[in-house]
Amino acid sequence: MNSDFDAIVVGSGISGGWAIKELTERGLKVLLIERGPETIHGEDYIGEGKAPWELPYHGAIPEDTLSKEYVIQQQCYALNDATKQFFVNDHQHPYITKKDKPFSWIRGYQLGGRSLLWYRQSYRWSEMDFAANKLDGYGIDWPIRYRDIAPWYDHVETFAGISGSKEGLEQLPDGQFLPPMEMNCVELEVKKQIEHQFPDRSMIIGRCAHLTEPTKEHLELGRGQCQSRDQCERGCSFGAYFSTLSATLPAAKRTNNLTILTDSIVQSVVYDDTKKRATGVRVIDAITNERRELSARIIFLCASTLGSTQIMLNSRSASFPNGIANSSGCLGLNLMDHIFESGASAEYPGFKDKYFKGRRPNGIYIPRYHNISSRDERFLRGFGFQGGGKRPSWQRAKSMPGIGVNLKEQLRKPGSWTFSLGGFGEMLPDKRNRVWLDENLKDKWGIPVLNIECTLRDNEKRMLKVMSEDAKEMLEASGMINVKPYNNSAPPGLAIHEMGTARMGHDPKTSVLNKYNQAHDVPNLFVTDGSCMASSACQNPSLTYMALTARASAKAVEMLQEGIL
Amino acid sequence: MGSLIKTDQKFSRREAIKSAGLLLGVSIPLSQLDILASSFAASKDDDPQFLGRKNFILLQQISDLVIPRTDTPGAIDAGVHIFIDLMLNEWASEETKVKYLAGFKDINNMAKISFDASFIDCTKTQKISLIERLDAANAKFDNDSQIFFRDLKWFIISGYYSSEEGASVELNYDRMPGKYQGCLPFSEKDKAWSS
Repeated sequence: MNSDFDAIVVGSGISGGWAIKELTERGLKVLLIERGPETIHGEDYIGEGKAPWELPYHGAIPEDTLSKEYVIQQQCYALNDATKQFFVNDHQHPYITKKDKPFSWIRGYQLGGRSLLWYRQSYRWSEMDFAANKLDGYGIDWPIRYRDIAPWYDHVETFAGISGSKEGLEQLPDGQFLPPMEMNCVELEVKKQIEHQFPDRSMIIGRCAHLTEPTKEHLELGRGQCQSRDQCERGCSFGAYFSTLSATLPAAKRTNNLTILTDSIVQSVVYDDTKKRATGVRVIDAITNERRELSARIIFLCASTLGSTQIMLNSRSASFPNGIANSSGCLGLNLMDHIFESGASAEYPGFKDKYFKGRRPNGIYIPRYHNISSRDERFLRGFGFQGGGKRPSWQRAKSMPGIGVNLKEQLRKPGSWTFSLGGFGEMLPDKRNRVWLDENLKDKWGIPVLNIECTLRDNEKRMLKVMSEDAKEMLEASGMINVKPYNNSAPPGLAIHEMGTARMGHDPKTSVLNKYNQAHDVPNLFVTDGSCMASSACQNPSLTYMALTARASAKAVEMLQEGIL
Repeated sequence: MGSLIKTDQKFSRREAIKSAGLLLGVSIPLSQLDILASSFAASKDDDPQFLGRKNFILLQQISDLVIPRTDTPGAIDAGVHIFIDLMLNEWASEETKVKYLAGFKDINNMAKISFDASFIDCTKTQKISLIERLDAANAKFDNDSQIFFRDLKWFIISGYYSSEEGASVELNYDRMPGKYQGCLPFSEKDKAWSS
């Protein structure tokens, strides 16, 4: 076979980064295609290390720019003047939703993708999560179980560097951890109270992709220790948090097997009806609009959940008139996100003589406790809480009365300790939550834009209600005062854990991908980003994408070597 | 003034002095810069870019009432009024600009009704009584004037505590904290972190 490359990897975010690392380290000549511009680690982190007064407008984006260019992206907490170059311009990258059914699609188109922007929480799934669909019948059975992915979690955790504590929890398996970050005094107190009063619950320090104690492997890649600046989204030239640019890209580059093509949009996958294989991709130069085809023996789509699905839907051929590898008709269906924006916040009256130092880029985590040993009648599946304690600074003045010397003196001290808990819950797979290509509207490169339709249904709504009630109950039980529960409705997508739409499964009739993220219909096509997910669990998903991608990459190379592919 | 945004054309006097110091190879401590800067005669640099002179003075006076100079820099020392003028000129949408002009006009109207003078011509006591009437942060914000003042007050406070003076002189700022320490002793003499 005469191909330009052994493998083409589309997309350079967390999944694409892992694909290029694993494939090049196994000797394949790999072409990485990224639709956005090149980003240089360190050099392009233009806001890094700057104090508020050193940023234009103290970090605020001009109002007209926000409303014209970032109408959706501005919903993301991480968007500010120092990070806006890592977010898409909504005006240039449209998609369609129904007016009463918003979906917030938060995107970063550059080398490194959203690996630069993620919140870095890293949790394993458990046996319970992979068995959930089969147990209650929502969605289709996962074709893998925890034992299939466990060694790959080990593999990616060791390389990425995940800080955390070993807890021995069945629903949140321990991993290969760097030393955990510290809890502050109020967090330690809340942990004690919750674990004492709710024996089935525990509160742990967040597990996050930060180097608390870099290993030799990390240091060799030029990565260093986390400095608790908590400005990660601006980029970190220490490489203290895991991103494509800090970790997987340099690892792939040093094999000399990697070629990178940036500013290049993959329009579709080329399918050869006679060979019954994908032969390459059609690429549009994002700047010149020049079009060309590039070929490879295997294709890895890692263009993000909706990005990869859009490419597949747009890859039409005689064999696949409705999108490549879509004989099942499942492509685009079962979109999920995590449900959130429900929880509680409160004040803690004690520890006035205690304070903290540093801006910890991490919080606490309360792993799921519903529907584990007994069945909760109110809803299926479960949720976990993220949160933390702190003493707010001058920002609390927004709701403070007074002016003058008195106000200034009050604000010189930190406020009382506060504590917040915010739930992240599982969304059931539902084929009515879906994306499809629009027949009329095309983007500036002539690619049909996505329609997105995704709404919360009864199970999610019931879960959100319990989240807020539970948070209130736990905070009250911990001696908190002014406990304020909330249950705001956030648009789906805004948890930025969108997944599904090209799910894995046993049966080619009901799923797009097999247990190795390999398309049932097209053996040399692999899809390893969030689109492969058959359910959502309630844990932050990136670590699972890493493990699935590494596993699929190893399998693909094995199949190439065995001559199966 | 050190908190001003450096744009291509606009260079505050303090920045000019800082650069001159660098050119001469002299390192001038920050605290000296303001003294040097204030010894310059008023120049174009003090001209507001968006607000008229009277509104600019009104803004300056309200900023001073909200965060006055004590043993530490106040809002004027931090150039908060200059910052807000720049924000209104460059950062704000048309809608926000209109809102601020209307809000200032409203404050002047209130001053005229209550004290028969425009705000800047009122006595300090009159100004404080007027601002305290507007500062209903604890109450209900049942009229547009109070809602406007809440926004203006927040603009002043956030401008101050994100300025170099507010964030790193009045409060503490740690550029490179190192390892997070969650439970350290804190005494009444200690200051808060600004972020």
